Amino acid sequence: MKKITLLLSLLLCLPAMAKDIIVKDGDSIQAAVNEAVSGDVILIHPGTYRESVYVDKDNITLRGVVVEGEWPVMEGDHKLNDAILYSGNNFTVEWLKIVHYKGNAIMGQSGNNYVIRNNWVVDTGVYGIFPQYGKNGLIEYNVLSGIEDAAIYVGMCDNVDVKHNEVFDSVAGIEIENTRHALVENNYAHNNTAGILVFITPGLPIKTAYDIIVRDNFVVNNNTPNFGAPGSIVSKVPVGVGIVVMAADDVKIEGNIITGNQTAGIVITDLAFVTDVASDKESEPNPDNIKVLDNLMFNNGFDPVAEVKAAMLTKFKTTGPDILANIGSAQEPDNCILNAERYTSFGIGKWSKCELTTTADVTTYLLPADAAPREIETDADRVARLYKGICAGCHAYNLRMIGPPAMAIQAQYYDNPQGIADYLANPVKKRPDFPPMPSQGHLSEELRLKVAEYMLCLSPKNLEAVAANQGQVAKCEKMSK
Amino acid sequence: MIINRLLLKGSVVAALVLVAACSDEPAVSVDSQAAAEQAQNVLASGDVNDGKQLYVACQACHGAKGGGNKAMNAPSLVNQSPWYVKRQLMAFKEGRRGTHPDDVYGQQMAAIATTIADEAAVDSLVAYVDSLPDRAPEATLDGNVKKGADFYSMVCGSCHGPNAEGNELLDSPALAGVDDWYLARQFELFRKGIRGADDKYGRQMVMMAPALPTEEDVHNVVSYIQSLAE
Repeated sequence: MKKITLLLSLLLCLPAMAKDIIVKDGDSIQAAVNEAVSGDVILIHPGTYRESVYVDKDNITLRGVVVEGEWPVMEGDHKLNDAILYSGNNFTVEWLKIVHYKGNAIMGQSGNNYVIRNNWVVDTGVYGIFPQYGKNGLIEYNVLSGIEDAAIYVGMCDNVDVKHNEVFDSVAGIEIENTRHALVENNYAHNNTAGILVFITPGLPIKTAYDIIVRDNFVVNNNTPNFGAPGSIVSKVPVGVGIVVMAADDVKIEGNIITGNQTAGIVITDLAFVTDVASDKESEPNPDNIKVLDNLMFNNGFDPVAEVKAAMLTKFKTTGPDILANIGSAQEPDNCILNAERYTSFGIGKWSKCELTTTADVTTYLLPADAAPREIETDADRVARLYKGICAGCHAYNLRMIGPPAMAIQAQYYDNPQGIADYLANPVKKRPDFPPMPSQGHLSEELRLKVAEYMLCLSPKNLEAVAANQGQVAKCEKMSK
Repeated sequence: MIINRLLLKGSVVAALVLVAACSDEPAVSVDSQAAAEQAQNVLASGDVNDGKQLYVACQACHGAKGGGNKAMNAPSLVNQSPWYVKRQLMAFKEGRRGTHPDDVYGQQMAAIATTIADEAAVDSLVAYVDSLPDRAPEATLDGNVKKGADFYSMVCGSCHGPNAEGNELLDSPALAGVDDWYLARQFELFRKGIRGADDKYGRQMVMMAPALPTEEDVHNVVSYIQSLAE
């Protein structure tokens, strides 16, 4: 009897067999996700799906079924904010056409081991593909266009490969931001304001960007006038730049074809290139140890922005640069180049010749085995992960990214975390020149309140400036213990 | 009081010299004290429904057309939103502004505002000020407008609006059209906690002060704001 009981309980403990869940035109993808368990594959057949899908389970695959050129289409009608949000680990999304959302096509919120491939994304607002604060991810064979900020935006991630994507007609083609161990390879970035950007945004929870390879990409004709939201940080990116390395370290640029970018082919710079507002003492602003190996570059800098034109005049040049590195510390000799004589360059006079000749030994930055799901030991960990995985996607501490700076929210709500928690569930547009805040009503009220308290405690030094705010400071100190 | 009246005539020049000589230190000039006294009389005896008549109390410092007077340390009033002018007048009147011992000009204004009879009188005054034609103040600072624009859009514009026009939904006043010297001074008062210690809206600005770390940053931003008004 005992044995039978044991056997039965073993059987009950086995995970249910992974199954396919079919979704057809008129069905809801979210309903299928709600039904799914770990390991399930949701097959989405051709049709039009007007919804936002939130996946907070592990091991779920969303797979479009394309039939004779008919795609499953997620249609946001310029009303819905996000097509797909995921926070589960080992999430895969592929073969979907996603159009006309206001915020993101696909946003990851701290899920590890993600695969995003073979998607066709058109005009989905601020970002196209946006994994945030995730480890070990693959983004390949996606085609994206018409994005107001970055078509592919890898934010605060580790170990990511971005390969074989086409990005065009967007402000930024591919952004690798506050991310470590990234390979950007074989992509076609054309007709954006800027093609590929590797940089640090100051004021975010992750402070560094390093160990990044940009290799064998076509970076061509990125001369589209900047159409980012006026006043946002991306709106300050100068038009006509192929590759930008801003404040990031240990970046290798090899084997790219970089042509026809009107301001410059490659720009290496500190943060001043885009904004002077970079007062994050924890973010080191200089681009260090940059290696420009062999690349093919011509016809760059034929009609540069005014600042670069001014630099040209001082050098009596009539054409702009393939490589522009005349801004601050970018000129230091810890940066190096191969065959410098081939290019028109500003600011690389002190650069050394690279000892490294190829990055071929690196074939991927993906981890050999899956990254462990993020450990969440305590409530505080969960709340911090939520803030970094969701809120920090739009709110930097002291500058305007997509939403207002966290500092301004703190000032407005310093003694009222409940006010933030309520606003998160039912946001009301208050700022005429900002995109509307998407509702976070899918988070429980308790979590919303805790995230609000977490936000009010960011950089408590600032709060200490206010004598009347000692109660809040004490609360923050208690939370951090 | 008698001494003040005797000193009133001919004291303007002396007072201006005094202010100029002590420009780092706020000083209440003798003539402005006299003006304050006159103002208190007008406010105490005026008809609460007659904003124009009550405004006579204000014009000695803020000018007949509300354009302000830098020599008197009195800012222009005309380009500001009426809801904000009212909030500040009520704050002065009810002891939420101008209470800090180091806020000399604020104390002056508070002393006058406490003699406004009631909220109806405040409303009449605000309506009258609102009826005066807007006029951009003159630039007195020479900051770097381009750098100022950068800071403004990254930080300040989140609440004060893309054109520094203010945003009532966020309780944030217009800044464009307010005298540059006055904005710079208020920012320093916020930074030092002299203004905003006892008023929740002011405290928001106290918390924002670290966003503009140096006086130069403040001047750049203020010059940019001035350029929006021109």
